[in-house]
Amino acid sequence: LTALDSSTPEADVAALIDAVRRAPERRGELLSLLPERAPVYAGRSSAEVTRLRGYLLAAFAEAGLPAEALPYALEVLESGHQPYEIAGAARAVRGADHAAYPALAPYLVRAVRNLGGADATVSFERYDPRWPYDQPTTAMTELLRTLAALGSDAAAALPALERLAEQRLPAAVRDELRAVCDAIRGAGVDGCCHEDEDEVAEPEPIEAPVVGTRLCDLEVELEDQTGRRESLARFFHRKPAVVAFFYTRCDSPYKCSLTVTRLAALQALLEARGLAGAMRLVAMTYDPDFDLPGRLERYGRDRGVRFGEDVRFFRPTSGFDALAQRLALGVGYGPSTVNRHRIELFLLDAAGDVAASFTRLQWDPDTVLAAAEGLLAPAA
Amino acid sequence: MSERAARERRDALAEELRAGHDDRRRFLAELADSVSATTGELAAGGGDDATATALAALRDKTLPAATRVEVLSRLGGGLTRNDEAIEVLLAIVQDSGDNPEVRAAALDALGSAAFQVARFRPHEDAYRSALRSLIQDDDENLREVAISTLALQHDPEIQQTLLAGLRGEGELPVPREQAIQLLAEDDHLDNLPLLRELYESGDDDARLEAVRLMGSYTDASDLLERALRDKDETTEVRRQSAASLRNLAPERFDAVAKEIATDGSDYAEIRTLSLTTLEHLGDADAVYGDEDFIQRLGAVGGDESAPEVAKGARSLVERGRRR
Repeated sequence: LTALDSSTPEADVAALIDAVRRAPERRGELLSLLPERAPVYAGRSSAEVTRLRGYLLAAFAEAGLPAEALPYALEVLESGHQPYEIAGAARAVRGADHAAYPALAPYLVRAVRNLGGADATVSFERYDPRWPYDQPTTAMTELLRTLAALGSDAAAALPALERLAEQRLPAAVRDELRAVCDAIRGAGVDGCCHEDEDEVAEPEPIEAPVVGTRLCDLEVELEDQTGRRESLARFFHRKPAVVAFFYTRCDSPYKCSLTVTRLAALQALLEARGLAGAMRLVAMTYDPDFDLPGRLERYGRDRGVRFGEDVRFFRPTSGFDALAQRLALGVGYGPSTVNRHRIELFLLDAAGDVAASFTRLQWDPDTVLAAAEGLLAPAA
Repeated sequence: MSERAARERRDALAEELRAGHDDRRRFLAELADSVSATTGELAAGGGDDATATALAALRDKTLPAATRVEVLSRLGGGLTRNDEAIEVLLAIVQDSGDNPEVRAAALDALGSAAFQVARFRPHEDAYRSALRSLIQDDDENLREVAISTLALQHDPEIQQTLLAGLRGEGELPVPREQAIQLLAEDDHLDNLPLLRELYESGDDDARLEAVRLMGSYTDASDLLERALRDKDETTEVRRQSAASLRNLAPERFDAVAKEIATDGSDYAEIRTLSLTTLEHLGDADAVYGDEDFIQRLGAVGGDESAPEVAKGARSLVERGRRR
């Protein structure tokens, strides 16, 4: 599987996934297909990448989900917006060791909420089946089946599911949801006194850490939202900085748009603590050829960012590949733009070294603020 | 408006409303009679229930198609607030044995209902499935509506069907040019080779669409510049090429626009467009700071053989002086 690249036909990739699915002892081989930058995804459209990743995730239901793959499945449940991929992630979680990861249910509930009116009929009967499907299912159905399979491990999700069952839903979904609630209750839970269902425990970080990575020796030229040019080394110097990655054409409501909205919330928190000016807030685009200054400015402004000397959005005009490699950015590219990316935010110290990273799963402004205050304290 | 005029206006509106209600009541009464006559469904009660009457009429395939279409045109907006009505409409749309006009009217009503996102949410998946089932429908109109609706939603099923058709691996349910335009709704697909094909082989309208859609692809800049410079190209295509190129590469557009603006052999309309865009949207330093360009515009401003161009040139130079 590591030999697969952009020239490998989709069907061949799927056939290899099927082969591993039938031989669960080889499941570790599937891990090489999970990173966004895996050669197999290079140059493919985001639709192809979604199909391949959805199919790959679903295979873990039978092959078993290794711990290293869990964050990828949780990421899709938390921030995914494509029904096929969400359905695949829901199936993958059925292959996880539920006893080892008791906090899976909140991710499934979040996916149920995010789906809203975006559910769709999908099928895993084979790779890329044509309509009408022989074995149809939906993302919602897969999520509910996984919750039912969790049984008492989904106890924390019961209040949220009961509230959901009161909403306007397709009749079949409502029936299935009630059955899931019954199954969880039947597993020995009385429906009261649960933990807060919004409490999401994060899995252990598994990807290669970048903390301590130096950036300021890189030759990267940047252009900000006003067209002003800077070198990365000169800008990320003397003050700590928060650096989030995004691109304006991102079509997921739970990724770039939310990242920049949360960056604006972080800016407000910093101001409220009297820390405006003590550190820099930066968003950097993955798509520098398209995200020209005007687009960067509009995207930030529309989401509440107030630009200033220390609050800027950049597009790298040279040296981006080196930066991406140094930070091990989780981004892949298709024929015209990004085909897939994870959520990623880095905290840089005053020397421009990576002090902390928040990747793949959602970050919240309070947590980042707390980490940032840790960087500011010694200087104060 | 005087008090009296306002009162008269109010009275007139009230009268219109009354007439509308009367008309609707009459229509429903006649409809209830028609349905009862054919199915007896409403005879036992519910005849005064507008929704029940309308649904019975919609389900009754023995009624004239015109009557069922009229039900939708008169009552469709209110009807689609009812979950049962949505289910009836979905069934009609997918019933290939039903009248095409009734199916088209039902599809139209569903399309309108889908705009009410929160209310329509429980039906979204069934609606999408119904649209997918129409992709290969014999009725061309239904097929096209379904395909374009799905393409706008970036539905993976229709994208795969269109791509397979374009590659010759399956039946293409719409003409090739239309398929390319529909796929181009999703700028995360590999559309640029298809858009190049559309530009090279299409008619004027197709070329116009091609250069419009290329505005999302940075690798299209060369072709867009070529189209903008091409004096044999239609004015509309050159205009759209200018807009798309400017969207992708404003500096490059500014450079080309300066050349076109001062090219006496080019068409006045394109030269004026270039001047206006440079004056109002161009990078001020690159435009007004280019002494050679401003000097050449001086000559253009005095050339009354192309009065609109001359006027545009003088306006730009004057704005530069005021900076």
